[in-house]
Amino acid sequence: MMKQRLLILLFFLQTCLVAQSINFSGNVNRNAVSLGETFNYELVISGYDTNQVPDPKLPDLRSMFNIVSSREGQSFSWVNGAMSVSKTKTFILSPIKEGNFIIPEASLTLNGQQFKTQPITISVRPAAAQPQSVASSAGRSSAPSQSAPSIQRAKAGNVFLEAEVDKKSLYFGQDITYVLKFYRRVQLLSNLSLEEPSFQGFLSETLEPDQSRQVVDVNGLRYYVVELVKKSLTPIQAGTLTIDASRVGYVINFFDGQRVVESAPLTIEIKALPKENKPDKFSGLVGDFSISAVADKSEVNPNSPVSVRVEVTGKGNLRGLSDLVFESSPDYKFYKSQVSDVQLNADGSQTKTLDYIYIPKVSGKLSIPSFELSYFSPDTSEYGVKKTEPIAITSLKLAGDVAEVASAPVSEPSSTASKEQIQVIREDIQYVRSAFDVTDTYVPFSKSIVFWAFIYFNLAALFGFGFYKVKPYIFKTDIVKVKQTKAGAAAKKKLEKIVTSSLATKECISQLENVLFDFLSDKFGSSVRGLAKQDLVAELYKQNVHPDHLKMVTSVMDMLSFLAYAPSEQSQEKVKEISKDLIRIFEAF
Amino acid sequence: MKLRSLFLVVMVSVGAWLAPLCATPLVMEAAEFYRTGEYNNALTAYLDLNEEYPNHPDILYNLGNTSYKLGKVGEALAYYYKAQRILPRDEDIRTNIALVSNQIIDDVVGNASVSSNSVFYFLMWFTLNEWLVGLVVLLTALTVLLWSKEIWPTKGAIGQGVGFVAVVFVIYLGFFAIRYHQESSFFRGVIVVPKVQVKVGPSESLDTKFIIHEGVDFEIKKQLDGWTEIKLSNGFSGWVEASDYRAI
Repeated sequence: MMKQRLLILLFFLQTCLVAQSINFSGNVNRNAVSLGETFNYELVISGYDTNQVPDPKLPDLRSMFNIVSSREGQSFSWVNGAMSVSKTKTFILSPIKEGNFIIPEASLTLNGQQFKTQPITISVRPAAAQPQSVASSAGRSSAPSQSAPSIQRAKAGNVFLEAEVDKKSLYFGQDITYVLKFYRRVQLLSNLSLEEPSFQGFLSETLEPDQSRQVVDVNGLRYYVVELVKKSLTPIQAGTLTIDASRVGYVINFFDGQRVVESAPLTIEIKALPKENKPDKFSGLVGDFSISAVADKSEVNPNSPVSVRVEVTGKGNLRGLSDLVFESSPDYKFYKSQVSDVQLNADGSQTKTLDYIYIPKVSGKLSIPSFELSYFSPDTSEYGVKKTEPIAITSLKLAGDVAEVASAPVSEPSSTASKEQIQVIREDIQYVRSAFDVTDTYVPFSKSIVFWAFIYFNLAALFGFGFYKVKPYIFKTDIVKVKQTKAGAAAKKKLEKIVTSSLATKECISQLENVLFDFLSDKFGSSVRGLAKQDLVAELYKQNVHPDHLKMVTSVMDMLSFLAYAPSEQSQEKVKEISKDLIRIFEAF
Repeated sequence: MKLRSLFLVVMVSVGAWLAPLCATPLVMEAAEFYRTGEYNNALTAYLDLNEEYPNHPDILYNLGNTSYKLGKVGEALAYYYKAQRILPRDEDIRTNIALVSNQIIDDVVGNASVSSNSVFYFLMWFTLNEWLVGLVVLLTALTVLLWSKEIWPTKGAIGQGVGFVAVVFVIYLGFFAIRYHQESSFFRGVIVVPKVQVKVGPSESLDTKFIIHEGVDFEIKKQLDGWTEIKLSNGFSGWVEASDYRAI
């Protein structure tokens, strides 16, 4: 039950994603047409994998337009590593009556969500085409229908018009070329004005007429000839079709005004394609064609794209070709990338290029399958099929480890024993882990007590070190004061050391003198060492030392001077006395 | 009262000690589900374990495997990347990332220089914990040597040692600062839905800038009202909905 719910949820999520990621729009290639003309109505679905999207629902057009034909195309692009797919359904519509019409919205329902196109307005004009001015050596003029008193159709006289097609009998789907030529023997005063027929029953494509002026001989008379119209016509229905007359207005002189000349109507026989031996996936092409394919690389990683370019060349209507038939397989994916416009070759043939993206899904030796093109040949009146050669592709092995390895097959022993390469049958991810301690989770070291203990310990030690080194500089100005306050205690310590030491008397006396001088130096902040007795007294006097204390100092100094030259037996006792005097001095100051 | 407290302490200690032992059957059960191809059940079991023991590299790795088997390439990569942050030198994780990354449709290749890539891989080769241990060791060595120099000023080798460790420490501190910055201010994510239209701004109604697919990883720049500004390694940037990706 739980599984089912999960599946339903997954399906719902997936469908929601699909629904959210498509765009559906409708457009036409022209909003104004004449009766008898056609226009393209396109429905474009883009975004997600459009293969999952159902066909759109067309609005009811029967009261306004005939659907002459339809085609479907898919484009695929790979931009910046991102795949984009769009599907286009094109309907060629021909208006039934004149007036202004609105093509209602087309709709598309996908997983309960409805997408709609915008309504489109189409204006249909009367069948008589608007006159067009065409360039001629004589300049420009207005339409012939407004002032044409008489119409000349005969292939004679000074001016006449001739329409011709290269074939009068052809198969449905086969192309013919319509050319309208203007013949004249006289100089024209103004431009020509042209009125083309509607070409009802044909899809027409305007070609570039030959603008060069030629001189030809007709019934022994020399005429200047110029091509006014050149069109490629494709019949859209079988049977007998008529191309109506074209009309041209011209002016030779002011007195006669505009004259009109028209071509003879043309009758064309359109034969239906035979139903016998018709291929299942008939492309609809009529003519003779060849097909070739080429890939941009022969080695590729799995899931990386290979561009395959297929060229179809031949004489026939290639415009309707939008896709080719190829074999599908789970080992690869094919996407149509781009379909080029038809290119005219120098020999009169046409070429159409279709680009595909081939993506291998597995590794190993693969081949890009054949592309198949079926067509009807009017020359042999038979259907034909042309195929490209398969293209060998090596899908490289993934740079992962081998998961499952097939052992080399055991071969019969032979004199030239050849070793076979071990082939990876299938690669897979490394297996799950089942034996581990679940408590061994990742805990940031920065959150442990040990880390911070180390950090604090080190920082304290470094700070202490820094303080120790910097301290003398920080407390530099207070040294004198410190020495002053601690002078007595320091001197007493030194004195004690001297008294308890086993130094010789002479040396002892010298040390005692040093202690006294050090004490006085520390006490008064300046060295008094080396001063003579008078100078020392003067210095102490300057320091405002009490006279009694001054007397004590001089007394001790005298005693020390005396002892320096006295016998050593007396000196030892005196040293002790001096020590006591010195202690009194240290305490008194 | 004292007896009760003692009993409680003993019970809690025993419970804490027994917890991993109780979890072991669940690990085995999940592995068995995986072995028999019941990936949905395996995923549920591993998710339970992940909730109980978050940031466990082996559980994250197994979640990656299970997600991959369920066709969730993006989820799998997100779990692998999380596991790799804890075990950056683990061969299995690296192999699986390489293999699963082949399923990514988009080819997003950055243009970073070889030297910057080398520095990046060097920094990421070690976890932040390892970098922190290195920092503590160097700091302690520096402290000890400084005091040793003060205590035994005549020993020249100590002075040289102080100089050497100080230089190493300063360089190390620079690398550590970059690594720490990456860890604390450089967030990444992975697309976990089949296809994402990356918008020019934080709104569904805005234009689509480009499209990316499941498994693409990116840098998270900023977040706003359920939308996240992302930057791909090739420099492309745009906005995606927060539900379309998993933060690594």
